[in-house]
Amino acid sequence: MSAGRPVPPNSNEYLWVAGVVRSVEKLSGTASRWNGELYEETRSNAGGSAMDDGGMTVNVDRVLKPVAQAYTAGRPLTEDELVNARDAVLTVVHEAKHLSNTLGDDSAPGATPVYSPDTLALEEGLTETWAHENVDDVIQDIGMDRAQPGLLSTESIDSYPAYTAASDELIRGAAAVSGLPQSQVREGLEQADRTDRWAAVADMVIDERLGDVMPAEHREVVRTQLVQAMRPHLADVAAAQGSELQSDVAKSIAGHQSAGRAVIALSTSTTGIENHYRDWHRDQAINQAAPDPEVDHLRKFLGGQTPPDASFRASGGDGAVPDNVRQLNSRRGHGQSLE
Amino acid sequence: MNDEPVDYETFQAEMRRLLSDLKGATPDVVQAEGERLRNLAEQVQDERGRERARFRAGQLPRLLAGPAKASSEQFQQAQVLFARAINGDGPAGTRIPQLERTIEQIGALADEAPVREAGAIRRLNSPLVRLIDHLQS
Repeated sequence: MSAGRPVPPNSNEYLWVAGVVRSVEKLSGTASRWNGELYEETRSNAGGSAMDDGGMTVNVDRVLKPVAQAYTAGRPLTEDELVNARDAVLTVVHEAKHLSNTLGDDSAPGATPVYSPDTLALEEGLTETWAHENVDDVIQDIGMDRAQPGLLSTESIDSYPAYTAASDELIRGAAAVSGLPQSQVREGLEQADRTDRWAAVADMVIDERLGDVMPAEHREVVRTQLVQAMRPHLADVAAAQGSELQSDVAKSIAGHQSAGRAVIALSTSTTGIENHYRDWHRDQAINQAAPDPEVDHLRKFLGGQTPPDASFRASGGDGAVPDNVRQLNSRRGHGQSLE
Repeated sequence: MNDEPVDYETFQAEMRRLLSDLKGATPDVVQAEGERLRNLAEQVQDERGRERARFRAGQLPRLLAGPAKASSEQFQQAQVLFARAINGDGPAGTRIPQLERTIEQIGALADEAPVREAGAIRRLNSPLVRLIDHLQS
């Protein structure tokens, strides 16, 4: 277990961490699932961790002491001390941000396991970006800059260059495919349960691109198809991260490129699905506008009206083509040949 | 742009929106939006909020460029160890000791690294700690 002794709730250290959690809650606009439990981190090499049950651990030497020094030194901190204090704040901000979403149910349609490499890459990428963009705002919000103004001009390093690049590119691409602003896509992803991040991307695209042509009852199948088109590419990010041959800048570029391939797969699949439904609607309209006894007879002979199908076959791994070849059964007005 | 007073929360919401929507935007667009954001900052009513908003508006180009990247050998090695640990598979009984060893190795690399990169290296251990807790549950 990483959780050691509880940090006393009336201590300055506890109150400081609680202040950071409240600030993250306020600035993110999302309620925290922190359960108020704060423990000393038992591993000397870990700064701290947001636990799945809503508790949190913090390292006394790596986090709480540098923070205390920022308030009690009575002098401007040295450059190295500022780096350590800011790293301590960034650690708690990052972990507190993990507590702003729930883990979710990985057995739901389109859901992915919380600790699968691609789901973890998305979670860490989104969280790291948020932490770096907002750490100064948190420092100002809790008034820590008054004790040490130098904290605001101290630089922090990206822990996950491949993941932040990948999540940024995925958001940019999903915004382009769906027509939504990037801010709306990012907010949707940040607020989704961790197991539902991929499904959230798919749902945004379905709502914006397919909502008016796709029967509502096809959503689960189409969502799963879009998720399956994207996921393998982001799993590549984690693999690239493990390569000894790449520099950190190259890993960042690899993360960007992998997410780019996921976006291409999303775009190609969406267009294929959209065309499939639009073709079906067009055929329907033509048939209804010009009833022809001969055509009607021929349709009966061929086995009835062909409904749209929610099933597609991937083309070369990146695309999807309508599966119009398979013999379909007509059961209702809109096709129900789901697989 | 009107000159109606705004509160810090309004400014902050606009800043958040721009931080997402301007990713990948041209320098001209970033400059124009930055100017608009600075004007909005001046309209924040209370002094502390205005001070914060001015500071944040000035940060926009730097934040859009993303956080600084590491350059040390230790950081690179830590990334490799982290990725292999995350991508590992097998039963919990095998993975947990491997993850514990990786946490130790990443910690040692953080101790050897330049001070400015040590924290970024050590933060890689947080998901590994969570993963161990998950495998133990």
